[in-house]
Amino acid sequence: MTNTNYSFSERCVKLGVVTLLGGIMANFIPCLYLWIRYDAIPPFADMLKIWGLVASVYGISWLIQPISFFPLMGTAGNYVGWLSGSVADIKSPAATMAHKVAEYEDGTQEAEVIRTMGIIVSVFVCVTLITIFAFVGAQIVAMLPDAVKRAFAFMLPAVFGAVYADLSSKNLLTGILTILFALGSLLYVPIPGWAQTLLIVAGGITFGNLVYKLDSRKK
Amino acid sequence: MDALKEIQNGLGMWVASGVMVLVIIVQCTLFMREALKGANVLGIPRERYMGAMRAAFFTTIGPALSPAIIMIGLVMIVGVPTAWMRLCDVGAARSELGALTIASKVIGVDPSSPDYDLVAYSYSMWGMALNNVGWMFFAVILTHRMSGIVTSLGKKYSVKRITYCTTGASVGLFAYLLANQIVVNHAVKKDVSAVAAALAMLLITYGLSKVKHLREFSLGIAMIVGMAAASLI
Repeated sequence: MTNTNYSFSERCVKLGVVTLLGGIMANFIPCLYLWIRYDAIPPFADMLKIWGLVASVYGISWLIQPISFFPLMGTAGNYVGWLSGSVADIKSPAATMAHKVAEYEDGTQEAEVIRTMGIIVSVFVCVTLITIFAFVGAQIVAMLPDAVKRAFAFMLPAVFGAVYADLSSKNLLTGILTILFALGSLLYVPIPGWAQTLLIVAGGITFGNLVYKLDSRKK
Repeated sequence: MDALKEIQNGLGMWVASGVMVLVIIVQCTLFMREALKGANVLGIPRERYMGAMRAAFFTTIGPALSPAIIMIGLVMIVGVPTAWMRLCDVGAARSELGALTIASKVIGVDPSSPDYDLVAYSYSMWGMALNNVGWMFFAVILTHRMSGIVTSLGKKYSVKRITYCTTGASVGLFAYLLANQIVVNHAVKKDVSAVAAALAMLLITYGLSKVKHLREFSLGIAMIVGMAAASLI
C-alpha cells in the first residue's frame, strides 16, 4: 500500500448510500406511473398484505444476504451488487475471478478495488445483454438448438463447482471441511434456507480460523 | 388482454422503467471512477486491473445469458419494459416471478390466467417493488456498519488471521450455494456438471498456469465443460 491514510471503503459509503436511495425511489416509479396515468393502484390494506406476503417469503433474505456476501463483495461491491442483483449467480463469481487474475492478497484494499472493478464490469455486461434481449430476445432464443437450451439447466452447478474449487484450492483443508459440513447440514439439519446460509458461512469462518491456528502452530 | 399489453409495452412504461436502469448505469460509472482513483492511489498497475476486468467480463457472459433467456417468460406476463428493468435491477428472475405471483394472488388472479388484467398487473408491480426495496433498504443500513466491524477487527487481530476467516466466509458461502444445487432436487447430471467444472477450473489454474491469459476465461471454460459433460451423460 502506498498511502496509509487512504480508505477505499470509506470513500464509497456516501456514494453507495446516495445511489441506493436513488435506486429505492426509481424502484417505485413504474407503480406511480400506473397510478397517475391509469388510476391502477392496490388499496393501502392490500399493499400491506402484499408487503406481508413478500416479507414472509423473502424478508430473511433481505437481511441475511447483504451480510453473508459482505466479506466477498466488500463495501463498494455490496452497494453496487444489491442495486443490480443476481449477486450469488453472477456478481460474486465475477468478483472472485477478477481477484484471482490480479493476485492481490485477500483482505487488502487492492483486492477490494479489483473486486469492485470486476463487479462493475459484470453489471455493465448484464445490463447490455438484458437490453439486447429486451429488443431481440425472442428471435435469438428461437434460433438456439434445443440441446443448448437444455444445457442451461446445468449452468449453476457448474459455476458454483468451479468457483468453489478455485476458492478451496488456496486452502484445501478449509475447503474440504466446509463442503462436508454444508452437505451434512443440508441433508440432516432441518432448518430453513436462510438459517442454513448463516450456519454454513459461520462454519466456513470457524474452519478458516481453525486452519489458521494449525498453520501458526506448525510454524 | 390486448389493451393491457399496450399499456405494459407503451412508451410511458419504457420511460418509467428506464429510470432504474439509468440509476444503475450512473452508480456503476461513479464507482468505477472511484475504483480507478483507488487503483492510482494504491499503485495498482493498469495491466493488472485490466486483466481482472477482462476476467470479470468473460466470467459474466455465460451466467448473464441465463436471466436474459428467462426474461422471455417474464415478458409474457409483465411486458418488455418491466422485464427489462426488473432483470437489470435487484432481484433474480425467479424471485421476481415469485413476488409478482404472490401479489396478484392477493386478489385471486394467477398471472398466467386470462383474468390477469390491469388491476392484477398493478398488484404484481407493487409486489416486485416492495420485494426489491427490502434488499436495497438493508444494504443501505447494514453495509457501512459491516465495513466498520471489519475495520475494528483489523485493529484487534492479525491481518493473516482475518484473511483466513474472510476466505473461510467466502468458502462457506459457495459451499452453501454448491451443496444446495447438489442436495435439493438431486440429479446425477447436476453432480457431473459441478465436478467436471471444478476439475476444469483446477486444470486451468494449476496444470496450465503458464498460459496466463487462459485464466481470464477460466470460469467461462469451466462452465462450458460442466454443462457439456452433464448434457453428454
